Amino acid sequence: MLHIGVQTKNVVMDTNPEEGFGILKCAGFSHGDFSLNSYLENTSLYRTGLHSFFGQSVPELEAYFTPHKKGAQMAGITINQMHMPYPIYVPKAGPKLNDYLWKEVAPKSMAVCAFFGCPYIVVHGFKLAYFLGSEEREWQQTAKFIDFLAPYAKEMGITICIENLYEAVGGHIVEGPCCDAAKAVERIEHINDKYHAEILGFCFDTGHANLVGIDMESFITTMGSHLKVLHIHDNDGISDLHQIPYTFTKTRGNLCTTDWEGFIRGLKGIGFQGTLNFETAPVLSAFPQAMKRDVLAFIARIGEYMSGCI
Amino acid sequence: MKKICAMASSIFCFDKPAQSIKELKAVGIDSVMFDYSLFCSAEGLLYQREWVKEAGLTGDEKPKWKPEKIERYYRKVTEAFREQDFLPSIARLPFTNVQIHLEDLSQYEELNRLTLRVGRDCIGACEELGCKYVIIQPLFAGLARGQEWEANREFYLALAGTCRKADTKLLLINQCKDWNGHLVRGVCSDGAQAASWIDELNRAVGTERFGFCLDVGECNLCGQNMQNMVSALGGRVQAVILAENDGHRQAKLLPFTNAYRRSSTMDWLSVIRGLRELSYDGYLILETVDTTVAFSPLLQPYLYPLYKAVLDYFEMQVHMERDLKRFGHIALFGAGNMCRNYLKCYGEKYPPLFTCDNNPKLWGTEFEGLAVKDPEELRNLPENSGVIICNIFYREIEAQLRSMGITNIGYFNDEYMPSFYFDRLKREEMDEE
Repeated sequence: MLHIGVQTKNVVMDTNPEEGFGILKCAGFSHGDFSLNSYLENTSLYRTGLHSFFGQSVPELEAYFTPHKKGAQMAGITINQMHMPYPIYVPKAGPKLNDYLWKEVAPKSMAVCAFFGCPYIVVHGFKLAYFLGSEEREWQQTAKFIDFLAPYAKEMGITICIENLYEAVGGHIVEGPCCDAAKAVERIEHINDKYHAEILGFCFDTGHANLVGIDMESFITTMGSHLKVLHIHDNDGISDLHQIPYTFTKTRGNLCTTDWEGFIRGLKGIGFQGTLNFETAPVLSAFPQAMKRDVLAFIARIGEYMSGCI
Repeated sequence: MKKICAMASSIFCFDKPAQSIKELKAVGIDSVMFDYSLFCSAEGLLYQREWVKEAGLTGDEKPKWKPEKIERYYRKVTEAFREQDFLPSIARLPFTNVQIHLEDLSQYEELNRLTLRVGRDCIGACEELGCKYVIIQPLFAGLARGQEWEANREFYLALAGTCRKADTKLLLINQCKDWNGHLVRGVCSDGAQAASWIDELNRAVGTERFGFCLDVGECNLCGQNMQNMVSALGGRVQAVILAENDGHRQAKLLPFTNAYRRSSTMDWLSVIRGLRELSYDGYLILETVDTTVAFSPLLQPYLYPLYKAVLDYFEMQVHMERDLKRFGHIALFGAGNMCRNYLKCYGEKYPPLFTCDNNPKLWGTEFEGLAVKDPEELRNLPENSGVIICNIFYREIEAQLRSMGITNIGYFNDEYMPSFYFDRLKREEMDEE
C-alpha cells in the first residue's frame, strides 16, 4: 500500500493547525503536502507587490510553523513534500522584488522545509521562453536558480523537484517548462552528477499533463526513478481546475477524459514507491464546508484505489 | 518556399475546379495540395462493407464500391487541373478520423488493410499525376501501446515498395489521438520519436524516401511547443500545414482568426521561431476549409487574396533575414520600439548605417547608439543599399520612399522576434561581465 497524501491548503489553518491535520488523518491520509506557497500568493506577485511574510528571520519562521509541525506530529501526518512559493522570478518586475524572491523567499523556504523534516520541495521553473527565445535558454535560467539552491539542498538533505508546467497563449493553455520527459531526465542527471547528491528530482503534475495532452504512461516511464513526488488532480483539458480524478467526461459515453489508466500503469511500471499526493485544494472550496470531511475521505479513497491498482 | 493552399480549403467545387483555379491563380497561388480523401477512403470502404453485411444485401442489391467509377471521376478532376496548368506537386492520402470507434479488433485490422490498399492505389495515381510529395497518416486505429512502430514500419515500407519513381517522397505526419473525446498526443506527436522513425525507414529502404509533414493545427490541439517539435525533426520537415483551431476541436481555420481578447489563441510564435531556426524552405500549406466554407460562395473568392497575403506573411517572418542579406548596406526607417528590436536581434549581424525618422526633432540625435537622420539622407546611400522599414506605417512610408525614387525597400516586423527585451537579464549579464 502506497502512502496517500493531500495538500494542506484549505484544511490546515494557522489558527489551529492540529485540528486540520487531525481532519486529514481521519479522512484517511497519512501524508501531507504542506502548502508553503499559500504564504506568498502568486496573484499578488504578478501585480509585482512585495509580501512581508518571508521578511521574517529563519528562527521567526520556525517559531511561526512550530504549531504546524507539532500538529502534524500529533495527528500522525508526515509532511513528505511542500511547494515553494511561485513564481520565484517575475520577468517584468524590478530587481527589488526578484532579489526578495531569490535571496529571501527561496532559501527561507528551504529552511522551513528542513524544519519540517520534509525531503522534497517542489519548485516552478522560470517561464522565460517568450523573452529568451527558446526553452533551452529558459532552462539555463532555471538551472542557475537550482545551482543557487543546491548547497542548501545538499546540506539539508532536501531534493528539489521541478514540475511540468504550462503557459497560456491568448487564453489557450500550451506546454511550458519541463514538459519534455527525456530532456528533464538528462538535466536532472547532469545536476545530480555535478553535486554528487540527489539535488534534483521530478514532480509529475497530472492536471498540467492532461491540459497539454501528454501521454502520462510514456512520460512517467521515461522519468523512472527521478520521479519523486506527485500532484494528482483532474480537469476538463481546458483549464487548470485541480478537481477530483475521474470527474470529467466529454462524450455521451460518459467515460473519463483523463488517462488515469495510463497514469497508474506508468507508476506501476516504474515501481513507484512514493506518496500518492492529491493537489486538490480547490475541491474544498467548491463543495459546501459541511462536506469537507466527506470530500477528503473520498479523495483518500481514490488514493487507496489507485494504490491497489499499482 | 512553396506556398500553396490545401485543395478543400480553396476549391469548394472540387469536381469543377476551373473557376477556383482561375481565382487562385489570379492572386498568385500557383498550386494546391491534392487531397485524395475527396475521392475515396479506407474508412468509407469499411463502413460500406459493414453496412452491406448488416443489411444482408446480395448481388445487384449491393451499393458497390466501384473503383473504375472513382477512377473515371478522379481522372475528370485531374484533367481539369491539367487543362488549367495547375498540376499539384504534393498530395495527401485519405485520412482516417482519429475519433473513429469500431466494434472489435477485426474491424480495426480490416481498416488498416484497406488503408494500405487505398494508399498503394493513391501513390500510383500520385506518380502518374507528377506529385513528388505524398503525405501519409500513420496507422493508429486499433493499435495497442507498443505496437505502433512495428505496424507503421511494415505499413510505410509496404507503401515505399509501391513507388516506381526514385524521387517520390513519402511524408509522415503528426496526429492527435482520441481519449474519450479529449484529443491528446498521438502517433508521431513526439518530434524526437518521429525523427527516429524516419531515419529507420530511410535506412531500411537505403534512400531518403521518407520525410515529415508538420501539421501545426494538430500540435495546437495538444498544446505542443512547436519550436521544440521543429527542432527535434530538423531537416526532415519538408511540408508544414498551417491551420488554426481553438486548441480543443479539429477545425481548420485561417491563421489568426481564432482570436480571444485581441490575440490569436494559437502559439504562432513557437511555429515561426522553429521554422526560422531551421531556415525552412519547403512546402507551406494553408489549410482553411472551415473558414472558407463558413463564407458564402459569393464571398469565398474575396478570401483568396488574404490567403495569399497570409502565406507571404509567414514566408516573410520565417525568412526575416532574407531582406537584410540581399543588400550590401542597410539604413532603417523608424526610431522607435521596432528599431530597438531590430538592433537587439539583428543589429550585430546586419548593422545599419543609420536610421531616419519623419520627426525633425529626432534628427541629429542617437537612438540606441544609432544616428537618427532626416529621410532625405537616404538619397545619399551607397550603391546596393536597402531601406528597411521599422515602423507599422509600412504602406505610408513605402509610398514616401518610392516618391523619392528609392526602390530597394524591405520590411522589418517585430511581432515574432527570436527573443524579446528582458532588461533585467541584460543588466545581470552585464554585471557578470
